[in-house]
Amino acid sequence: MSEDSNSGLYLLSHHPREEPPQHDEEFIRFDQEIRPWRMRAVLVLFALFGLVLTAQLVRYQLFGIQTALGAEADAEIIKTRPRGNIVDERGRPLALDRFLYEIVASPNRIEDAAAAARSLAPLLDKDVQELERLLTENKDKVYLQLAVVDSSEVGETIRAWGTYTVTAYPMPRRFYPEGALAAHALGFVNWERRGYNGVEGYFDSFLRAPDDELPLMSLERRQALERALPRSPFIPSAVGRDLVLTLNRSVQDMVEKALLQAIERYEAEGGSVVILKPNGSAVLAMASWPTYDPNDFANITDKSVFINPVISAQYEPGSVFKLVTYAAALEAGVITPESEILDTDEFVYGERTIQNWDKKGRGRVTATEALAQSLNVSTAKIAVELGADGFYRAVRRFGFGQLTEVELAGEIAGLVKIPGRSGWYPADLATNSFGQGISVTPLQMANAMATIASGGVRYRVHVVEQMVNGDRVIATKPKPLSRAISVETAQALTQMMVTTVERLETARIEGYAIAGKTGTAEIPLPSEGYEDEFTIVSFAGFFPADDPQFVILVKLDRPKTSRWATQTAAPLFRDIAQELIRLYTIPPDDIRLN
Amino acid sequence: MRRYSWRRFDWFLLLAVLILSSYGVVMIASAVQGDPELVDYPRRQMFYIVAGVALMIAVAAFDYNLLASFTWPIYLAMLALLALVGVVGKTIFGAQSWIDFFGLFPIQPSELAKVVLALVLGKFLADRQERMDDPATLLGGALIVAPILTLVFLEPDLGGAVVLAVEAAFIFFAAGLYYRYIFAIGAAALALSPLFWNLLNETQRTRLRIFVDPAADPDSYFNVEQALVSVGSGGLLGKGYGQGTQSQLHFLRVRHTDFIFSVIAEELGFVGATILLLLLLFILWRLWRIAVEAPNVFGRLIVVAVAAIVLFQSIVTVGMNMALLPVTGLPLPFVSYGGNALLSLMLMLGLVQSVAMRRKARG
Repeated sequence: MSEDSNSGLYLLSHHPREEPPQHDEEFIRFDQEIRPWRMRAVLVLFALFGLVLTAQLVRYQLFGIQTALGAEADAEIIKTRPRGNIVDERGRPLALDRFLYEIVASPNRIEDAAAAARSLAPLLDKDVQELERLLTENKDKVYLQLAVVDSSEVGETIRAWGTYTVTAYPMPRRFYPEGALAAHALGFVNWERRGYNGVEGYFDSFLRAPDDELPLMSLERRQALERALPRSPFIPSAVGRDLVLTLNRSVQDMVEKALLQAIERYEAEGGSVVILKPNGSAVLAMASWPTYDPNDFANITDKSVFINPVISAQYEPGSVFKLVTYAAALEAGVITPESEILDTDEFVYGERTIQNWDKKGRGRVTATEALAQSLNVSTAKIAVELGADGFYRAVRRFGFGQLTEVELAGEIAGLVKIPGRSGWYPADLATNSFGQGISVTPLQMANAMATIASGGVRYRVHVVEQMVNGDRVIATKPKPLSRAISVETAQALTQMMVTTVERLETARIEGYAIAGKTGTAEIPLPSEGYEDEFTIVSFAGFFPADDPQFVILVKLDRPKTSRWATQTAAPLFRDIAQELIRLYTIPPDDIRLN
Repeated sequence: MRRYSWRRFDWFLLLAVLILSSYGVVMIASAVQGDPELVDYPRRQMFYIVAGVALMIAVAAFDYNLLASFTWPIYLAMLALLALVGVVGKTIFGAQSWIDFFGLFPIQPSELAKVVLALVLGKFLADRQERMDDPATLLGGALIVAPILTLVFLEPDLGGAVVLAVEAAFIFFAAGLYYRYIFAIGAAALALSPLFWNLLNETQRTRLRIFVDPAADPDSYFNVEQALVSVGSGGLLGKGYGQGTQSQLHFLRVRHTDFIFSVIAEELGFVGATILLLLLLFILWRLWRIAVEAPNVFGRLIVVAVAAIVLFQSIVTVGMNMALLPVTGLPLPFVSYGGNALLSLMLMLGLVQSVAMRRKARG
């Protein structure tokens, strides 16, 4: 304090204020002699910063803190640590832990191998002589695994003996009671008890019990929690780390069966179906084929089936994507549903020639007509009229080229080339307008549909409805991300989509107004150009059109019986929609609306 | 007599910055691999480094003392810019707090504000060295800081505002602010903290709440937990470049910016992380030396301000990656992806070098 007052006086006498500060011997001298400590304090602060952070690094990286967080170093402990349960929206179990018992002996401590073999043999269902031989042959060993049993009775009996020469270790094993059902959404858990893919992967650290010493929750506490879980008979696990998904087991099962049937009927290589609920984008069902049984993950040789095509594979969407173009054009006022467009045989833009699927122009058509007949030429003309800015803004607002942020591990963002970045050419505007040269994930496409069905608001897709974390139940709130189009535009577009489905015999259902659109897309080759023979067919839609409840996206890869979506994807969509009408007993529109 | 010399230019500082930012590019490349959206980020970052070094050398050649006479116009222009972009810009340009300079470098006004604050407050306090006991000095300083801080806060850029506050605190401290004022300000800040809490928006409050009680929102805490797992699983030598499962399997979000440190810690381990910290400490030490040897108070305060920014942003980002501090979205100096932060840092280093070139050898 006194130094400060001195300093003022000191400077005043040697350094008049009016003079601009310059190289100043006096300043340096004053600084060195009288007030060096302020700068030293700053230096001490720097050193402190280095020290604290290094200490923290040492703590996390070199010592045991990381084991509590689950690094490989302590895989052994993790192996026995239980995980929480995963259930569907009604509380029906999809993934849970089942305890196996590892029966272990220490042959070097066993004095009477014959007696040990006699008491163990009936429990382990093994031959007495063989057990005895095993124990005597390994006489020098400290540790010998005799068996792994799934009977808790056997395990607990051996544990009750209380001997250290033969022991039973309870080991949790992940169990998927429904087998392959919803495998891609769930993921799997390996022998080291780590979750991969799906929610198991995404919530791996969350699902794991927080401690090795388990102060497991009492039944009373868990039952108290149950009250916070509406519509669910599910009692949270003792681990206190559970997930209630938005998936519905019955719908999922129906969808998987319908998908497999369609794949067989149309001789496709694979396919995916996603059902979302509008106004929140909750995933009701998510299925893909080929799939696998997560109980049996270790025996699966083709690891590519682990990948969830709905979020981790991209495809060129084809004509379904026209909806984005029409939405943007309607929103910008470039067209109305009644606007007339001159549909020509050819439309050359940016050195590329655009043609309809049958290479024929339709003459003057309305915008509604152009969408219903899926005319490339008209769509490209609309996109050009709209301009690249408006088009790519809509692409972005509908969520393409970005993660949907669904809570599943391994999501990719798709590939959208945009003006101003390398690789984009003006002709891309024309081809992208009907879904060529642009890659999306099925989930992005489904969510874009859900955006139209939700009156133009895009929500974050979610698959977890509630998280049980200890004493708390945390519900996922619908999270609006952006408004892609106005309510009026969404309604007008929905009406155009209804007209499209009314004209499509293979998709419409008598008595129900359904909004939808087909897409038949060629498959880009890794290098350049497209495959000649096969296509990816898809259908996206929602219903009831006036009050959407279900958004459905179906996609089939390389069907052999027909290369057109109208003959393959549309009927699969209709099958699923009909099943939903039955499962949820939705009355026909005229009854419901009167 | 020449009053400056390129021989006094701090080449070691430049070298350290180059090494550190190249380190950043290499790690950004690892963080964004497999992501077609971000694939050209490493190349862009390299461009920013080259542009930044050019900017640094250009500014260094310029005598910072000449700026002393223009601090007021610069200050007023800065306020106008912040008001235009931060407040009016909301409605006119659509939530854009960016200004494109010649279409080349996007510079955020709040980044520029850090430089301007150093100049204006530094000049003000340098001129009033003999009156550091006068309450008017404190009041005048506060009146300089308040408008700029408020405008940045309203943008809203909480992180930027906090950096400005810390920067101002360092300048005041190094300028020799009396202790009784320091205590008074501390007490006032404490008393006003409830008011401040009310000013925060929900996202910012959530981040602070999670910091105090990490389990409050598992969904948001997810990032911090994943960052911790990354750091924890790195071990001594790490999992190897490009091999981090946490970062490569995309458990970490914004891994090329906010969580770049986690990527380094996971893939290159304790050794990689320590090298990074040592480089940052080396840079801070060089800055400190220049500050101590500065030819005048104005120069010193500029350098202290720059050091404060580098120090504080490093502490916050690295601390955030190790659950020591809340997630604020500040970049790790020189390392995180982002031309904006990098260019303004280089501009600041240019001023520092300008001071360095005008220092005298100490007797």
